[in-house]
Parts: sequence; structure tokens; C-alpha cells
Amino acid sequence: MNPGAGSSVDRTMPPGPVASEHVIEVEDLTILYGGNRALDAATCAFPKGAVGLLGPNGAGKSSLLKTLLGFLTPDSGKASVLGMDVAQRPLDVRQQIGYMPEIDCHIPGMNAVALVAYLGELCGMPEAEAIQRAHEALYYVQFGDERYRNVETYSTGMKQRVKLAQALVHGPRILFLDEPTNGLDPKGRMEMLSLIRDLSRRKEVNVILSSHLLRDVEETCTNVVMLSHGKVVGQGSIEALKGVSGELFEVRLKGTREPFLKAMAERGCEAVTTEDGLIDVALRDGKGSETIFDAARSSGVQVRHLVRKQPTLEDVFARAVGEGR
Amino acid sequence: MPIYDQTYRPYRGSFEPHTMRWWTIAKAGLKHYMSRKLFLLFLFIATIPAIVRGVLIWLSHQAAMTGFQIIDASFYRGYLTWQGPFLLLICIWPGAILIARDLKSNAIQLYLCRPLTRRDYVIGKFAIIAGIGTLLLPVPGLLLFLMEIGLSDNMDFVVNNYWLPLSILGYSAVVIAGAGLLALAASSMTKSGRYAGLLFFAIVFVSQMIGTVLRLITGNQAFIVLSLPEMVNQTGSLFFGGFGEQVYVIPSLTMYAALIALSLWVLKRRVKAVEIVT
Repeated sequence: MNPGAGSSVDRTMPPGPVASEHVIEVEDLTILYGGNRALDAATCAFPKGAVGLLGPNGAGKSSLLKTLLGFLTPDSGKASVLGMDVAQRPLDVRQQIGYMPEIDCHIPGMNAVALVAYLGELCGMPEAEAIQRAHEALYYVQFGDERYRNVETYSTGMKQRVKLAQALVHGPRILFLDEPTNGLDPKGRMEMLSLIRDLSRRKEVNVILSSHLLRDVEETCTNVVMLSHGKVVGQGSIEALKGVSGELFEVRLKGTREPFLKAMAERGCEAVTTEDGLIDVALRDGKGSETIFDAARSSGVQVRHLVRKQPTLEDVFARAVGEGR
Repeated sequence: MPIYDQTYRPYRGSFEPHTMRWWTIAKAGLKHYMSRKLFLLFLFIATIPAIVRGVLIWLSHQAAMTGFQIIDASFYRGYLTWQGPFLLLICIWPGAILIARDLKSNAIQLYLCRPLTRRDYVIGKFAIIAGIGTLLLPVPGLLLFLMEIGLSDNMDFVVNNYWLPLSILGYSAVVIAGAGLLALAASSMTKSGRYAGLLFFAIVFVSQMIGTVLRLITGNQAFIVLSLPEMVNQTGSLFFGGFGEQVYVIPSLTMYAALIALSLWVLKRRVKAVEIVT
């Protein structure tokens, strides 16, 4: 079953048995850094297409990607990529993966063509084909003559695009993009997101986009896996996850908030105070706005503002992370 | 339709087998240095001793110069010993920067996210030093051996020294392996190529200093095995004879093997795709 399919997905429950339509399957994966649990019995599945890997800093996103690449050895559990166990067949797995690291990285003294071709050759491509593919990949990420300049002289945006080109050169079936819009200006960000969309929707490349920028994920991905404190706190299609949020209202009160929040909780509804002093209320199980007024009345506060909200990924994420703690 | 839409397509070509993946790293490194004029100048200078030895061989076959130079195993050992400082320089540059600059630019992740093992990476880097070292030590040594055969009137030299080519190859391999791995280990300890070079230089000369000072203070000759150059010198006796004079061959070999093992251990610890800080 695709955990993202349908609206009945419970984002807080671990997924059931994974099926072959998933490109990546992770089962009870635990990674320890000394005493810290970077991943804590994480179980998730990544369907085909573009999947966002969401989580705040330190949630375990990069650790998960690095485990899938075979850089980290799991302390327990297992993971497979395209049906191949990453612990058993790391080289075969990496042959199928293109990885765009988060950090600034390059090989000194090389121009973009030499760098991308060299990394293509390291994947086993014959030299002539690697050079041809390097030009194609660089052309695709919109490099002109600057491809012949030393990579060290590039701007952040250009370096990001070279990193994408090197990840693409050997024609991988899965792309791991770790914070691909880091350090990009708005135009560069739009271009990068456009490339990611094109790759996943038209070039049949499966994309795993690790980011803490929810808008980037929402603009490019159809599914998400959410991590918090090393645990999978939600997964599924973005649309389905938004649906699970039920009806969402934005409320402003006159009076003390705490009794109202308590009254909402007693009625089985979620109410969260936002940064701008408003309260987001999620109503489920057919409950309507009268529940809000009822709670306000019982807690002695006045409702001064009530607007129906379109649930965003941010709402879904905030709730999932909150529940995961 | 944007132009880039027409360009990216899945790769349908073949991939070469994994076994020789390290050669890609070695080839790129060798190509890089061979294209640098300063490096080529260095190689030319390093060839001068071989040319001089070639002239000596030629002169020794001239009727008027009979007895001028005896061509025997010590002649070839002398040549290889003479080339030691050049190998030392190769280990400092480019040897000591090979991994340090990858660490500085976070390139190791780029290597290891491909179907490439850490062993492939280290072998590829080592092969760069070994390739250049081969041009400095065994290749000219073997050419000088062939030159002597070519100029000889009879087969006496071959009959008496048939083992020399293997000795030249064996000694060169041992020296290059030790120096190359030590240089790479030093390179993996820091992100600065300069510091790595200094570290390598310090290991070589500090070891020699300690060995010499302890020998002078205690009067015990056994302390020479602490000196890296002396270890190499003693190892030479194993390949070219003179076992009787060099009494510390086995301890030196043991120390040398330990140094290689230590270098490999450091490389194993330091060459990683991710640095885990706990």
C-alpha cells in the first residue's frame, strides 16, 4: 500500500508492510552517534516520484540519506533501495543514486566539465561518454561557457547547479538532494525548484528532497516523510495529509487563552497558539465551528476573529512534529 | 520548449567493471601533474642522476677507461639511494596534498557517494605517488641495467647479476610503498597540504634525529632502527646483499612494516565520507 494514497492515512502511525512500488524502504532503522539517536527505529517508505524528507535541523534527515548511501552503518534495522539492501550491496545501490550533498564541495583545480566528467568516470562511464554526459548535464542545469571556469571561482548558485549536474551525470534512477536551495537567491531558488520538478515529472527520475524549507517541498513533491528527533512522525501524500487535518480555523480571542485551549482539548480538538498570537484550531470528526463558540463560552472568553483556513504543509508538519515529541 | 528540455536524457550506455575504478583517480592525478611545467622540470632534474650513471656505464666500456667504474649491484643500489631525496620531495609535493585538499574542499563525499570504496580511493591516490615514484626509481634503474647488458661484450654481467632487476623492483616497491603511504597518512591528518607536507618532513627527519641522538647518548647501535632513512638503508641490504655489515635488517624491516601498518590504520580512520562528532 502506498502510505500516501487515499485520505485515510494516519500520519502519526508507522506504515504497514512496504510494497514493490516503493523505491526506498526503511525498517526499524536506528543510528547512534555515541549516546545520541540520530535515527530511532525509523520505518518509512518512499514511493516513486518526488518525495520530500522533512524535519527540523537535527531531525535525522541527513543521517537517513547517509545511511542509504552506505556512509553510516545502521545499529539496527535495515534499508533497501530499489530492492537492494544497502548494507549488502552498497556499490550497486550507489550506482543507481545521484547525491547532491548539502555542504559546499568540489574537487580543487577542475572546471565544471572536467569535474562532472571525472565523477561520471568514477561511476564507471567510459571517458568519452562521461565528457559528453557532463556537457549535457551542465547544459541542463543552464551552464554556458562558464563551465570552463575553475569551480572554485563560482558563486553559490553556480556551485549548487554543478552539484546537481554531477549527481545527474551517470543517469541515476534516484536523486538525493540535500537542501538543494541552500544559499540561493530567489531567482536561483525558483530555477532549482523548476529543475527538480522537471526531473521528477518529465524525466522519470525519482527525487528525494531533504529540506527544512516546507515551501520548497510543497512546490516540488507529491509525498513527504516527516522526521523529528530521529523518529518518523508522518508520511504520505501531501494532499492526503492536508485532508487529515480536517477543518482548520484561525481564531483570535479576547480573554485568557489557556482555559479555551483546555476546553478545546476536552472536546477532542487540536488548538495551537501561533507565533502571531492567534490560535489555529483543527476540527475533525464532523465537528463544526459551533464547537469553537461552545468552548469559548465555557471558558469565559470572546471570539473576536474566526476565519476558515486552507491547511498548508506547514500546519501538517507543525502538528506532526508536535505529536512526535 | 526550453533548450535544456532537449538535453537531459537517461544514460543508456555501459558502465565499466568496478575492479579498476581506482585507476580513474590515478589517471586523473597523473595527467594533472604531468601537464604542469614545474612538475616536468622537477622530473627532468630527477632524471639527471640516471643520465650521469648512464654516462658512467658508457665510459666503463671504453677501452681507455677500463677499471674507471665497476658496474655491480652496489652501483644500482647507489643509484636508487641517490634517488631517495627525489622520492621524498614527491611525497611532500604532490603526495602530502592529495588527500588534504580533498578534505579541505569536502570532496571525499563526492568520491564516496559513487560506486567506489574507501579502499579504491586510497589505492587511486597511492597510485599517483607510486606512478611518479616508478618513473624516478625502478624505470631508470632497469634501463641502466639493460644499458649495461647492451654494452657488455659477454654474458658475465647477466650471469652474475640476473637477480638485479627483481632487486631493483622489490627495493623500489618497498621504499615507494612506505614513503607513499606515510605521505598519504600525513595528508589525511589535516586539511592543509602545507601542514601535511611539514608533518611528513618532520616524521622523516625527527625520526632520524631521535635515532641518531639516542645512538650517540647510549652508544647502542640498535637505535638506528628508529630512523626512517636508516630503516630504508637497512632494507636495501635485504635486496642488494651486504647482510653481514647491516646487522639490523630484521628489526628495521619490522619497524618499517609497523610504520606501513600505522599509515594504513590512520588512512582507515581518516578517509570517511562523513565525520561523526559525538
